[in-house]
Amino acid sequence: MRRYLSTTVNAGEVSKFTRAAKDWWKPQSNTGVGLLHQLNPIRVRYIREQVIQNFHLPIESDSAWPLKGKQVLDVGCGGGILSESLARLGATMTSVDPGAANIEAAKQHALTDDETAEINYLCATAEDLCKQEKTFDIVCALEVVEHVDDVPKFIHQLTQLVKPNGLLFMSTINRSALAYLTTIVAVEQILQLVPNGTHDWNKYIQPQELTGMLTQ
Amino acid sequence: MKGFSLLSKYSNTIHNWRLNYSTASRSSHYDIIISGGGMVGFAMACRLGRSDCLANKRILLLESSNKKQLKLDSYNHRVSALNPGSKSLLESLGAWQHIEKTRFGSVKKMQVWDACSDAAVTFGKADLSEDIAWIVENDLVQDSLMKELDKIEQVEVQYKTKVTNYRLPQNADELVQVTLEDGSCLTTDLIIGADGFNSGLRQTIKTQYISYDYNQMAVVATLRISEGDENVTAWQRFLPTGPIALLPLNNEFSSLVWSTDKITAKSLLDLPPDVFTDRINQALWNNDDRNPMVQNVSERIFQMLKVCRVNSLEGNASDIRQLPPSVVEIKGRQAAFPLGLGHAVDYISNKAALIGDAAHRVHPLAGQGVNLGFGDVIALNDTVCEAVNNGADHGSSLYLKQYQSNRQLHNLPVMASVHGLHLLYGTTWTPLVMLRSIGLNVFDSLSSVKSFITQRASV
Repeated sequence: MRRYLSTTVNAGEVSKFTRAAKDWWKPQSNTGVGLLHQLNPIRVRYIREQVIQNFHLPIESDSAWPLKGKQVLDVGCGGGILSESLARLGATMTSVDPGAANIEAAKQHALTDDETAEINYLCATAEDLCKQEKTFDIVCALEVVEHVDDVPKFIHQLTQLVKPNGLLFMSTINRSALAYLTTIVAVEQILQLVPNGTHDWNKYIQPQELTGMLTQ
Repeated sequence: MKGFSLLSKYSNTIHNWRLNYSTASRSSHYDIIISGGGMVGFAMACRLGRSDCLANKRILLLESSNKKQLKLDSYNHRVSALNPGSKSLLESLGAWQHIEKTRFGSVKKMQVWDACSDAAVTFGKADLSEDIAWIVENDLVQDSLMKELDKIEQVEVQYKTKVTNYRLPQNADELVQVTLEDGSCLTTDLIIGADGFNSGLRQTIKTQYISYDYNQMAVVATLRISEGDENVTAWQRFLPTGPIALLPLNNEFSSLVWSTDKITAKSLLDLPPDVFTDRINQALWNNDDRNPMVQNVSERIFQMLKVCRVNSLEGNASDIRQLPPSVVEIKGRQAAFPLGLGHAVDYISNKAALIGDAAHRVHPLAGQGVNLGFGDVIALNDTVCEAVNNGADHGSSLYLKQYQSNRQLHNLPVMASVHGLHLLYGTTWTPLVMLRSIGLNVFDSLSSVKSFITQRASV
């Protein structure tokens, strides 16, 4: 087990996900991955629309490989749910996660389909990639920022990884009363779709806080 | 310790995958396989092949019989009444132009009436200005689709290829295995069953199949009709033994679809042409089954309704009760096919989907059979495209489930109605005859309701 000296990775948060590593591709399990699978189509659709618009791609909105030729980075890829979808849309994927078990699970699953077998999975962090001065056309950090320690620093690292005129996608849960009721009380405690303690309401970020950090 | 067991589990997965992948060599793996090459199977292949988002997918269609050569010297017996939705589909696939150049019948009006009374309902505009259905020979539909399919490179068709076994995956990492008669094995990410009401794929899925043998057969033939006005009306008379229908092919000919019990059907098949022709005319014109009491009541109600409608601005086609044509002779021999009701509780399984008669089978009395199948084609194509556009595997269960819900929501009410009509008109019990006759007359006078129903049956 490597010890991470990065200041944004929280070991406790990482372990929440690695203990469920073998369940990433079993949407019926009660480790919460089912919800991520269900959320995926909406995320992919949004990314697809934004990419076609932002890069002014001269293609039909429903053509076969809209992300072809694009270097895409998935930060906090987990078992690769998002990465596989983007690879199928033609992206040249690099996917990183600090959890070794997650990366293992992601690699095994990706090899079962030709279209996803080329994904470059690395057990690493955004900071590692910054140090290597890598940049990408599109960077995604979906459902990650609520699990990191130093949010402004993490966001700064993400912005460094995006090429000029590239796209950065982030998603997280809003810190609001509704979110507390739905994601923690309902989902974790009552319905038990996700293990208790997966989400810490204090770490949720509100939209204006995120935009504030980005403009800095 | 834990790490070690995890590792060994992953290495097992790699081993299994390699086993799967090595047997699935490049040439025997297809992204999508369609089993069955009837009208619905070919339409599915065309539609998938023409979808932009599937441009990089390899598609295979397997058909057990030889490639058919279209014979046009006489009319083929098996015809279908295509609704506007089906016609749009065929237009979008480029197949309709071949049909248009060859031949088809236009239906601008439909008259449906009861042998036990005089109650009738007519559909269509009074001035016959709009087509409500198109009568096309099944072989012509299939041939037109085949012509278009030949133009699509990424779709391959294998004729004289029979499937002997399907093996569906237990989890999302595995592929579907299809074994052929010659022992060879193909793999795919999505198997589509368009293999008819005795579907082998449906049997593999082991879904509950609700079926009902009508104990009826439909006797079909091509008839020369008496000359008169333009032949653009579809006629259907409900006899106690089953409906007899005449579907217009052109001004000279109509196609017969006479649904009746098996014994009567078999005797009709044996009749010489002139006797058979007489029997058809009797069935259309004979008033022996009329129930006098019902006739009396419904006649009064019919008159009453006419009075009520006198101020209506709409030209209701039913104001003019036309008489059906009489049959002059039959061209060629008559034939028959069995009728039944069938519905699969599950249209889908892991990486598998059923379309057309494989999923559902109806009585031809409402001309809905192939139209439901074409509706399945559109829905399944949309589902597969949505999956691919969202970066999911095109055989993903998450999406196939949506296809199932959409289609069952649409198909079940139609099937229930058709079956209901079959039951309602299969009796001579006076109270029911009275009910349906009055009901039919009243329904006939409600133009807006009729338009609504026509529209619903058009998609």
